[in-house]
Amino acid sequence: MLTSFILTRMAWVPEEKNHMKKNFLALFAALLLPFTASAEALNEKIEIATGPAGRLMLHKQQAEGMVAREDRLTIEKDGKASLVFSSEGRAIERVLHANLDGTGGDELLIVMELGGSAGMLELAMMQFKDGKYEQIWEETGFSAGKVSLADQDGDKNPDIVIEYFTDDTPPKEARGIYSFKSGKVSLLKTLPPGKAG
Amino acid sequence: MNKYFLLLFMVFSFAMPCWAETPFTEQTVRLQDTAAAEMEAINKIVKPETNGFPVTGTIAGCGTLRMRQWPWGKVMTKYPGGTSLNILGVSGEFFYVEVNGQKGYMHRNYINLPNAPATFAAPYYPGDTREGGYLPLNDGIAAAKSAASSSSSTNATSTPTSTSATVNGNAPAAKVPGAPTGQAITTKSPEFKKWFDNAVSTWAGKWAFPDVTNKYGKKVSVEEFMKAIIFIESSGVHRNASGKLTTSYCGAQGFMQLMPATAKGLGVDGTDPAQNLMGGAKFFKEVFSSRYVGQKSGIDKLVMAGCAYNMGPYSKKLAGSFEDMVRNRSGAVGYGLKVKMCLGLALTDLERSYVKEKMSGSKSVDAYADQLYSYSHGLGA
Repeated sequence: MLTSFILTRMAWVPEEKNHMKKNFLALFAALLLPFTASAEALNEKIEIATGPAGRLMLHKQQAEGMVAREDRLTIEKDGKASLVFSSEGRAIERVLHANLDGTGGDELLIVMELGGSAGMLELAMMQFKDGKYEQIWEETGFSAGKVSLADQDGDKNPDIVIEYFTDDTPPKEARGIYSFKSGKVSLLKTLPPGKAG
Repeated sequence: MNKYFLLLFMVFSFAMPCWAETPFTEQTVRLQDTAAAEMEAINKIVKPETNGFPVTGTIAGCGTLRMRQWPWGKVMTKYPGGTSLNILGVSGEFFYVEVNGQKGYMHRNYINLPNAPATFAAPYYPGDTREGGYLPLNDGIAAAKSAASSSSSTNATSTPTSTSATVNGNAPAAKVPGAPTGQAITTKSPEFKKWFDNAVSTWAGKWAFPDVTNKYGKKVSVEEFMKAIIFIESSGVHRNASGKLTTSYCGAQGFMQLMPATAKGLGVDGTDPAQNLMGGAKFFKEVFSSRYVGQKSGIDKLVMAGCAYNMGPYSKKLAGSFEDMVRNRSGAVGYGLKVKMCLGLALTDLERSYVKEKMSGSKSVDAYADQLYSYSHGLGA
């Protein structure tokens, strides 16, 4: 807006004062440069859920020309925001929330994309304990993964189901099922490469 | 009274199976006839290639494989691993097969042939076919043929060995900008050298590239490293002869297999060959300086940069060394080993056993490593 206003006004400067016009535009461009250089490719804020602890918010941030994402999950309550999780370069694509162990409140399952050529996912799980979220699990290396929550062991609590491709040559399909019980996430089973063609 | 009742019961007991079986048998025959007629009608449209067939095969592995009415068509049934098949023809990535008199289409990547074991290469599932859904007849045929004519594998050596039957490609696509002749854009394209040199000269000078000498006493250059990545990622094919963009099972695109979101972050169009190379080279500036790779040195840094490119540079799996990755068999072990072999770097005993077990197939480890070195260095020649 400001740029177009200045450029419009500059058009009225007489031809004989062209050197003045050039100098002014160079100065204006130099002043503008620090703002454009620090421009962000992405800057979004999304509400994930609302609970007794407050509003769970996801901030997606990415500097221009970079793969790194500096995403953050925060809890906002009474005008104050407290940090729940920082992605440290990874891109938070989904946040699933469900009561996975049947006790207390919802756990958060954070699904992050890593940006590499294998399309790998990394997962982190947060448990709400003593008034704050604590990270209790992190798992990585799921290529082209699909993550869902569904009861797999018949205890009526949802388990974490991850469909992915293995690191074999060529890659094979596999499915990992993780269960959260007594404050611990453990691998229930890894199904052998399926053949669903 | 009881005698009469018993007699009546016996008469009914003998007669019942006849009543139940006769109409059921007729119905089954009718259904089989209908199914056969339907399959015949479908095959007039699919037109499977039958030269070189029939051959016998088996379903590989221990899971089940879907039989579909047409390529990516309605699922008719599933057969377990080990089931013998009579392979009657091929249409794109599907074999036209017969099992116990039932005919249908099965994905060829999961079928053992007498002289070619199943590749198990995970196919790209169009639509909701992975969940058991299907595509309309003409769409299914086109998708299966298109995938078969595209080299979407990230490993050149994993290309399925076919029978003597010819696999038909798709109809030629529209002329692709940058394609020298026909539709293909590869490292053999005349403009590749210009694109490659431009990408390397723009970004490789900004890489924190380690000083490494290979087993032949040769210093590894940034150009060799870049070519190794292009070879591992796409076998040097950006678009195939039909003009189809090389796209992996997870959606990575082109020479350097950039994920669309990654390409967007880097500010390039991953479908454009010059921009794809530029984006990959730009990505390595970030990779070599990233938290985990940046603090490593020598061969470990070089190999882990490759793993980071594959896994994503901010993966927690990159915190340890490549030796840890091999020992734990986690992360991008196969990818890192390919980087080592493409660059002529010597393998440890543990790495050699991994290559023998998982990668080299019937070849010796040394022959496989020499082949990767030769292929990688031959790109763009």
